[in-house]
Amino acid sequence: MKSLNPLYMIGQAIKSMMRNFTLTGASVLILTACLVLTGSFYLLLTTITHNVESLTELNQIIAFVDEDYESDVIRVMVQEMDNVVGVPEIISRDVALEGMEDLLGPHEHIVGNVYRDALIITYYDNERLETLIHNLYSLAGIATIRNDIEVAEMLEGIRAIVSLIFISFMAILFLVTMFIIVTTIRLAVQSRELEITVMRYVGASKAFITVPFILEGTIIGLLAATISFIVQLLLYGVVRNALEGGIINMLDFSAVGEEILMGFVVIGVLTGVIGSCISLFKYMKA
Amino acid sequence: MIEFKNVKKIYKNGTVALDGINLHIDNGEFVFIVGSSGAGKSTLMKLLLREEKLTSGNLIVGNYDLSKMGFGRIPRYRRKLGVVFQDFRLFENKTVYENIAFAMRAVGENNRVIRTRVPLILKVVNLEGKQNNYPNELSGGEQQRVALGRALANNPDYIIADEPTGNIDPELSRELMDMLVRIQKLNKTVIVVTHEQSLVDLFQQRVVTIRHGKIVSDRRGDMFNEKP
Repeated sequence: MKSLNPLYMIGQAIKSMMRNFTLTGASVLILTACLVLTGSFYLLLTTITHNVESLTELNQIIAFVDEDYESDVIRVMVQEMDNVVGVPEIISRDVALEGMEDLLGPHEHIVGNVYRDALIITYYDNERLETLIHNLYSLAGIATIRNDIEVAEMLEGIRAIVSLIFISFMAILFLVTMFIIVTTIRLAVQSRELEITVMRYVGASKAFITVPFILEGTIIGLLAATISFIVQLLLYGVVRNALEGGIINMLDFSAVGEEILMGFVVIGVLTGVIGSCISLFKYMKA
Repeated sequence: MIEFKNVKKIYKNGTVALDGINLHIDNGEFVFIVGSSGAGKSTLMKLLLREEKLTSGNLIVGNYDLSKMGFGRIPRYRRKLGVVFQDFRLFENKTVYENIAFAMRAVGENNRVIRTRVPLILKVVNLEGKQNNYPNELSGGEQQRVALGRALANNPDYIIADEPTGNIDPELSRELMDMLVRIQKLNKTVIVVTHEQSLVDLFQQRVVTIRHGKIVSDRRGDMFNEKP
């Protein structure tokens, strides 16, 4: 069997794409839209995961001290509790008020200080956190406890929902994209029906007949992956700038860029190749 | 050599297209396959082209046993065949040269071989000087000669022509048949499927007649002057 000429194959694929320029463009755009949506969901998941990890890694809880009790006394008792690391730091109600005024401006309409002294307690074992919280509540003088683990758990819940939406979306987007690519390649095949017939009768190999179409699908996938990556990069930058300084801690794009690019290329190319193979099914046989 | 041994072809809908065909064609023979519409000529062609698989029996073409041949060997087998269709099946957007070169390129032939071989083929089919013309600039007879040139491009052992004169006038039909006879002299086996009795009578070659999926007569060329 004579070897296939790669340049000829690529040339045929590009010619075919130019012949069906509109539909090829539509395929690239739709695949791009699907990839950007997929990428956005992935980035949302990554951001949530990152924030959950940050919260759980801190290993800190804040216990607010009842106004009728002395923070120093409470601190001594807390310090001796199981699972507590070091001496809890006291944030006095005055410091808390100053902090809030710095953040939100003077509370002129509120008379007096509504804040409580707080103890920042560091613990070492997440597994025994519940016991620690239970012990703190049973201690007279602890009014309430703010626990980031609860926030983390809430975020975990959100992450599970987003994951579910992400997977459902992925499946739907994949099907839509596949349909568009199958249609594009099928039209390309139809427009070359005569060529394919002649090629079959003169004894062209299956590879010679099908490779240009598979390359066409691959090129569509690669184009969409490249455009999607650029759009995703710009979009992420805009969102990151908008949320800068807020409570959400967003990763630098460089931390996830490689994964996103690889994902786009793999999904784009796979979609293109599978779509082409579906369109060419009958020509694969004989 | 082509050998049909008790070949049957029954389609999925139950139609018996060929019913126990036995036929031997030697290398370098010229054979007309004739028969009315629905007689089984097209099915016979499809079996030879390995578009369809026979239901039972054996079909051997050269070194290939088509009754046992898998999909993977079909392309290589088809390189032994040169096919000419009634409707020419030329590419309107390619020149005569490109139409013939296409068949060579499709089997992975390199440009150097293509550049050497296409002019020779153009000479065989009397189309020298027409290499840069597009099919719509040619007469029906010339277009069919391009199709014949394309069939010869990969130097096949067998030329199979399906109603090659169906779309051209009688004068040009005769010219084309003359050309096929000349090609046969190059030690090619030529099989022409046709329903044009006048052409068959004129050329006095072997004639196999099919009716209702069976061979009803097989008359050699040298028997033409004998009473049937």
